[in-house]
Amino acid sequence: MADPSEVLHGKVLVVDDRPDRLLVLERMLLRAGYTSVASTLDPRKTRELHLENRYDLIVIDLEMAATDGLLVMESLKDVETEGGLPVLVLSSEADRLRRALEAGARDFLGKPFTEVEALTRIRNLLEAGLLRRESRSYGELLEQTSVSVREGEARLASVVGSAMDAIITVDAGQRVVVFNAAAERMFRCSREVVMGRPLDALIPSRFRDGHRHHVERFGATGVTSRSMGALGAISGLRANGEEFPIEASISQVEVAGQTLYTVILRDVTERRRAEQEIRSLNAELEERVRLRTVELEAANQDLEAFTYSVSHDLRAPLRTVDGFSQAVLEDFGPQLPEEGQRLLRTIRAGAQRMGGLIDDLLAFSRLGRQSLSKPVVTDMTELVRQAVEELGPEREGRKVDLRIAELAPAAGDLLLIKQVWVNLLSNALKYTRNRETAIVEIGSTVEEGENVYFVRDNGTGFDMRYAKKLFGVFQRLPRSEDFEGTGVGLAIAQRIVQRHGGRIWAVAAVEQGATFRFTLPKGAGS
Amino acid sequence: MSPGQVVEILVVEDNREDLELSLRALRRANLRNRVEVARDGAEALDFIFCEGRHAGRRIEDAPRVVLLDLKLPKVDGLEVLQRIRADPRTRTIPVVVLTSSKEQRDVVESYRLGVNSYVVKPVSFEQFASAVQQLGLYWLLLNEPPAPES
Repeated sequence: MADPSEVLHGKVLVVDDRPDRLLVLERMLLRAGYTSVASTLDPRKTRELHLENRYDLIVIDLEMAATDGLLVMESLKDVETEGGLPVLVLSSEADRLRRALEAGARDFLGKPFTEVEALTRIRNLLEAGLLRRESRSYGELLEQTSVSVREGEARLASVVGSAMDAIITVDAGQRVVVFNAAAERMFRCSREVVMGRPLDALIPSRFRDGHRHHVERFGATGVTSRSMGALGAISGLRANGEEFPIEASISQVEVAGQTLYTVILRDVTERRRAEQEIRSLNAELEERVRLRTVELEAANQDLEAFTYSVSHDLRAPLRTVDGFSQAVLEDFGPQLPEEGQRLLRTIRAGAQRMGGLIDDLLAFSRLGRQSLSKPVVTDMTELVRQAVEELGPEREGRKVDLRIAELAPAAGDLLLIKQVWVNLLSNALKYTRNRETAIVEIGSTVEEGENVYFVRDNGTGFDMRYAKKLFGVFQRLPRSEDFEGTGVGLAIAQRIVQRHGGRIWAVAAVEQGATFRFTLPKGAGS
Repeated sequence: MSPGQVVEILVVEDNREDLELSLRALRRANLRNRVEVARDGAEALDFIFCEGRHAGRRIEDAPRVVLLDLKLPKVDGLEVLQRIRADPRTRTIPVVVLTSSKEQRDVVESYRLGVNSYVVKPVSFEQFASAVQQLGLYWLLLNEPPAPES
């Protein structure tokens, strides 16, 4: 039913060349509540007015002097193309009315007519027009909807068809209604074979009942979707009888009162194989690590035993050599010629030197085994002062110009880093011994992510060809024969720096001094 | 050593050469007369606890100091130390470990067992002799032992 107020808003045109008749109709309509009533005394303008205003109803009196009402109707035909004209004709002649109806008028009113008759007819016509329009727009909507449904279906079909995962839909009776291309490939089975049939052919027999119950239970939950893999390993069965592991999720949807279950399946054979491979590689790796650890522990124990033995057993005979040489000198010195005494002194010097080597070697080896203490942010300037203090005896009686810049703080094992400074400074003092004034500069630069510290001296320097040997244990450069020391100091410095994650290197030229640099991680706040 | 004379220093040392050097150093400090030597841990324990060869000794006549090597045949130095400290009669005897070992675990273990001092034998004879002499002099002349318990 059309809305009554909408009917009263209907646009009406009254066409009559007689003003008195026109006025009657107009007044009647306005009285009845119509809000949009127009009229014309010139029937020839009807077409023009309609084109402009698109009336819902045109009332034409067929008994006009100026023109034939039928011609007026004729003029409207190319405007109103959808069968029939929204025209109500008035006439007292039945024949005229009949012709008008044939010409497309929607209704007629025979004269004379009562007001009730006229208003009823007009209202019905307007109402019918409204309903017609409404149903037309519904029809259009329906058309659009079915187009988009068709498009949606096509899109869905192409998604389902091109999906990598197998998509299978079964109805409430668990018969297949959708079986996509991926499913065909996965099960090696064409859709014609399975459509409308139970899933049984796709499930290994021992799982069939379980699967059926699972789907039924799932249906009873009313949950819209869930993963099936969570229920443990499930398997599919290919047409060739081969079983394969799958991972699946299931969803249910009600369509036209029928529940459809859609299962999306993935063949995880390849992934399972890869996982298995990873597991076995991991296990293998762990075994290798375990073996290597055992080996390393054994090697460490060997090293420990060796160190212990060196510490105990090698020093004792040296003491014998030294002690008894001394005993000879003490007890038989007067009887020995000077050369004999010199030879014994040489023997003693050798023994003592070897003792020093052993001590340094042990210190070096301990450094490799002991763990670093918790790194603390270290005031490097203060640390250098302490190192200089320790080296007091080495500076005695010499002119040493120590130039210590303000140093960037570093984080590390305090005692070990001090050892680095002691060793580098001792090295610098040693090789500047023949300079009238030894100049030793200590400074630092802050680089990306690390601090670089340096010790520069004006000493004898060295040939860069031997730079690589500098930090090796007992690797002494040719020049060093003139200088005391065991050649372990730089090796120890290197090991400490490396254990802190830093690097150490040196640049020098013969007789032009040397610069040793090392890096350390930045101290907090620097 | 003449019988009846109280032993003041017990040197426990298996290494013949080290022993000779030790005795030489003590002799030079005029401490040689009252020295007893044990060549392994078992001998040292026999002497201290008056057993075996030393059964006739009185345990009260404890040495003023024991210079103890760690690596010893039969019973090692750490065990000797432990036994001395475990017995109330010998607990207060001063024991100085005199060893070649600089190994931290030996040092730590010795102190844990209650050693009075831990001295590493230097390679140089002068330093070694000086260490032995100083030890002897310190424990014999400067150190005040507790009165014997009775």
